[in-house]
Amino acid sequence: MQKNVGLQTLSIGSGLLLLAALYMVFMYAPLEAVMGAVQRVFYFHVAAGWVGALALFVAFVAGLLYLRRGGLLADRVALCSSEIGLVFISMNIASGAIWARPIWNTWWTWDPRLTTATITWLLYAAYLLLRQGIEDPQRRGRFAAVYGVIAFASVPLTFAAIRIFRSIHPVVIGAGAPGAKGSFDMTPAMRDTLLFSVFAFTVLYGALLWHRLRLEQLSERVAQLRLRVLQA
Amino acid sequence: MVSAAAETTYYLWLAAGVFALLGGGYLVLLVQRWRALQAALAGLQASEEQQTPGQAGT
Repeated sequence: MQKNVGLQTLSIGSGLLLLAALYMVFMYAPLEAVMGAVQRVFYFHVAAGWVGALALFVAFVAGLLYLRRGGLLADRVALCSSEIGLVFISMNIASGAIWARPIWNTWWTWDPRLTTATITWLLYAAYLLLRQGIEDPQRRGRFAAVYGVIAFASVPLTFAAIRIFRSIHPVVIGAGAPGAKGSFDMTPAMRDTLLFSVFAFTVLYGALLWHRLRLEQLSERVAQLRLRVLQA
Repeated sequence: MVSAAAETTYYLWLAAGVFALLGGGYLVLLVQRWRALQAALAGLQASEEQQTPGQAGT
């Protein structure tokens, strides 16, 4: 496959943005008075959660497009975006558990936010496993699209869980939950760092999706060529 | 006795390690898969080229 200048630029750009975000997290953002250094996990924890949700939203839209128009590209985008979404949700859940240990004094609790995030993770892990079991591309695409559209309901539910149910998870956007443990008021520097981290992660998602789509395209090319060679 | 500041820093680095492990691990998997597919593609293209002259002669 030919070198893609746009993709290379995006990849290098996302790497540089991540380095800048790391600088802001460790050097620019002030030390939080109560939680100390571990509060810095928050910037990448939220950014990973945002990208996880964005990636699954893209997969949801691609699923809808596949159901409406068909076409391999929509199915390919849904697969690649779901996979990337799962990686970022894993980062979000794992970093949250590490933050919770010193702040909540436990690695894990079945809080509504943690429970719904785990359900989302399980749904998309199952999505990736189940679609591998279907050979026919048309059937696989239809199944994956329907599954992806239904499974996406878990994403807004996860976002809303801390606002609907009683939760100890801090609320960053909007009014804080009264029972939240580990809440803090963001200073302007903290807000800037968070927004920049979210931006850097979003650009990284774009680069990863583009790379992953090229990989899938190559995989399909190899499969077609293999079939041709075997039939000859 | 570990101070509160040292403990909270330890968890920060633990989280940084998890980010690096998951992100880096995923990138390594993508690169490995890309290389394996490129090798498979080269092999298949060579097989196809070998088959083509034989077919032309029949």
